[in-house]
Amino acid sequence: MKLSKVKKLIWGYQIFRGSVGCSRLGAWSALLFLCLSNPGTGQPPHNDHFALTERFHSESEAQILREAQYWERLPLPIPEGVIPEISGMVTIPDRRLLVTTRRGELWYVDGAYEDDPQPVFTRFTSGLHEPLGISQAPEGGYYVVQRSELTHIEDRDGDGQADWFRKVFKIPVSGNYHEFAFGPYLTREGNIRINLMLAYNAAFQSSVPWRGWILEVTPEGYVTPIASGLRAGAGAVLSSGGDWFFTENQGEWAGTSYISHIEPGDFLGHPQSLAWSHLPGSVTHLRPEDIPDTGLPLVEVADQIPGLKMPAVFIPYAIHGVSPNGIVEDTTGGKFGPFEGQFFFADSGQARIIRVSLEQVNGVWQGATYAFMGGFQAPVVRLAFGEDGSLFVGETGRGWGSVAPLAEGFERVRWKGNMPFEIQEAKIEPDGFTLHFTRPVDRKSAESLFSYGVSSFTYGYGSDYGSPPINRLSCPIRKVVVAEDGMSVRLGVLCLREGYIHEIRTSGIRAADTGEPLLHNNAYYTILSRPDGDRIVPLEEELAADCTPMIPEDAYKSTPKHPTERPDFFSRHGDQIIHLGTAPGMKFDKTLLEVRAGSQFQLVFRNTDEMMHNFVLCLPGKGQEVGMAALHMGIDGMANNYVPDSDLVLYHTAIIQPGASERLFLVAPEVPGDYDYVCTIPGHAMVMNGILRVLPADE
Amino acid sequence: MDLPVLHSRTPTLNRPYGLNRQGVFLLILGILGLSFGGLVAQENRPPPGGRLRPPPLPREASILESVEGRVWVQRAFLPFEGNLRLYGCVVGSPSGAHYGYDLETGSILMVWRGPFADLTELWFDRAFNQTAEPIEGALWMNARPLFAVFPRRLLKYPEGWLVTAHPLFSYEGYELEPDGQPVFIFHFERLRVRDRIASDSDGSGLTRQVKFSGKLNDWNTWLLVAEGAEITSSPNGSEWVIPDSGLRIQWPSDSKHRPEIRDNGSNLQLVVPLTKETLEEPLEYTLTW
Repeated sequence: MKLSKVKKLIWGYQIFRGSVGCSRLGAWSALLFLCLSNPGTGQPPHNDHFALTERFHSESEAQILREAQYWERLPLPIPEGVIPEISGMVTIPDRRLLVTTRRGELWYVDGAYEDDPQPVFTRFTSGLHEPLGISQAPEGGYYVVQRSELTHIEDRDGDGQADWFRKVFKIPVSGNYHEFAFGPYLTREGNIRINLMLAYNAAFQSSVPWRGWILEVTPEGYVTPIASGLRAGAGAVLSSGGDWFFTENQGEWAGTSYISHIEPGDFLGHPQSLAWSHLPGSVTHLRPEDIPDTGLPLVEVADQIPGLKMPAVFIPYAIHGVSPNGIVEDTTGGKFGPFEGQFFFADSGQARIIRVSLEQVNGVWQGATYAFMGGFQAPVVRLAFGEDGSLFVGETGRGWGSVAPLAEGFERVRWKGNMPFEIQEAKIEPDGFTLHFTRPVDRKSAESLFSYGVSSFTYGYGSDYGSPPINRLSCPIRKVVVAEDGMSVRLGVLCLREGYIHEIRTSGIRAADTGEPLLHNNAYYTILSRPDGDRIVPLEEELAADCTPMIPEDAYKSTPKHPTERPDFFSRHGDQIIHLGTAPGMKFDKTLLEVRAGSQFQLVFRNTDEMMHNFVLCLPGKGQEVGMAALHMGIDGMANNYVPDSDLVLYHTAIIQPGASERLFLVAPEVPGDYDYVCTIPGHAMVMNGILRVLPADE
Repeated sequence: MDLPVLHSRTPTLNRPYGLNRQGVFLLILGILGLSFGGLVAQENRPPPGGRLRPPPLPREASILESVEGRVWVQRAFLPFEGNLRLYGCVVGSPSGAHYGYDLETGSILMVWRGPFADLTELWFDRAFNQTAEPIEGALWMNARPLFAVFPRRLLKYPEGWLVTAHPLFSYEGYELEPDGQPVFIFHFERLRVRDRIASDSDGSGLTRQVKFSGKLNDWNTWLLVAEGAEITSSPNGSEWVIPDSGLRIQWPSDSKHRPEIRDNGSNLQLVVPLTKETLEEPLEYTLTW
């Protein structure tokens, strides 16, 4: 990896280098450090063992079973001949759905609402070009977004088969596979919004007009640009209150995945789209050269660049998904559970659904994410509420990685009607948060300061793929006030920062009735603005607080397991140089490498893919175990290259950005055998792996 | 369900590749396919106590050998002369003659018979090419616009439409007849055009019927039928032949539309002048090859 690149990556760490020394720690010890230290506050060390185990709680089998007590997952059987690569769904009257598939088919689905669903699929049409969404057209028929056309499709003779395909808008494309078009999202006026993604060809590009923009199209085909700066965001929703929200995927110029509130003129962050800001109709004056590539926290850059929109919600990478897709609002009137008015988004990489609460503070939308439900059979991309308040889940991940066992599918989630013990919503206060619960909390557990923890971090903004969580800070909790009815708790917290995610840990809380812990601990609240109002912590105390950030690790230095510097004993080139690269679709370009036992060799790992990867050499047969362990590293994963602190790991690279490479100076194991190598970026190991065959030395 | 039946088959490298460009292209695709196939064939071990990811879709799932029941319109990018036509489709007929159509120009890009289409690059993995292609033996035409306006011998036939200029040609959509047969509808200036290209019942060729409504503009409007280095005609004018491609054009002897041969510089072109007098009558001809 080039030095300049490394420097940029660790910039966030370097700004605090020198204030406190910190030796290399493993993921768990780093977490311990985080939990134990409350600099300058006098608050007793946080020593809740629960925090250690649950904070990084990805969806384990046990967790999935707990969730299943409240929401049941009904996989819908798929008849033979149907390939349910579901890319769009619309629920229609008479308990039917119409779904689009990536194979270009539209299917009516009947019988999906039954208790023991045996859905019947009837083909409405076929042969479309990768439709990725569908809406009912107010004037009859359906709008479908194909790759290069927004199309109005109708069955004019009423025989159940589509027979009229009207071009509403010819979507600009250059021919690149990554030019996804998402939508159609109907506006209240009856217009159609479409979100046009960038091309990827070694780098993200906007090579034809309006790629990277949200466009609004009238049914007659007249177009108004709405917002720019998109990268690869696969979901959007118009809320019942009339606000637009958009989900974006982590990557270049997106330090983590996020949800943005969309208003005309917004620039969301990817500067490639600004290549077209000079065209008539553009709603921004920003030009690509106006955007600095510094890796500074997004909030600091946004302060300098009017029009650069802060996300309403940062989605903590790997903790609450890695690839947000479709998003829906719960408008079921309580039929789906206690989250009416909140949002759910689909995460394809982790095959799970994340919950989002949003609130408007001083005119700015912001909110929090919460784990909701995992264990789906295939990568979750589309969500739609049915008329009975159950949630239909469309799944496809062909060509893209996921932890799920299947590549495509169709499921339905139904609330069983019993009340889970959950954080119903985290809301901002002038001096902290109020946590609302779905059931009364046990007063003793809720009144203890030790039941909670708050820390904050944010993400850098620049051309590198994603950002580690940076500028982490533990936020002292000063005061806890439990509501009389036990349904809410107000936390007085110091050192809150605007533009930062605040991780609110709740592992000590117990339910008043059963004594059980929360179904999902932790809320991740992104603060953009704080309201005025009553305080429970005096302002003077807040101003006097010592909000010194903690020192994160330097994940990029050379270590025995990460030998990027040539050891003294190493011969000039080693016995051989092995070049390993990536192949499209989350693969290594070689799946079998051979070395002699005990030999010295250099491994050059070059990442030519569009997402970040690493190389982790493990003991024979242990690659998947290491990959699973990496899944559980949570927010510290990025800082530790997603390499678990484990004896199963022999060597590893840092996280390698797209287009970058790294050279390791390695000594082959003395014991011959097939050693696993995997990429441990969450979700990758199952598909991105290979074997380093160590041959006997004397052969 | 009354559905078209798609027959899939295992692709082999024993296809009758010629030495033409298409053959080479398919050969390269095949080699790429083999190397890609080699990658996905790697052992897929489950994680300890974890779940096994199923193998990716087999490549052969994306070869459409033939279409039964209904005509199949497949929107896709179409590879053409080393580039992609980005707004097009392939149309497959149960009776066996298929074609690729360019929605930006109204032109037939290629015609072929036999096995229908390779949709592997549309349906496999991330579908990096996003293309639909004839499986074999296509006769490649040109992508010049179906219509042009120009004074008689002065100008070359246009290669395409300027997207920034006022769109003379504007694609509106297509409708499907009950058997799935598409009729493409577009506007050429004030003229509304219905373009129906259908396989003959024995699959021997394609019959095109172009219907006009609306008004013809005041300029000379031409419709391009075919192009070749040489064009010969039967004495009674009922058949035109392009010897270098083997394309034959049968022209109804009672048609009011009378094609002419014009010299486009490097090629001869069979073109039809549209006049207010002939506009009432659908223009119809049959392509065989």
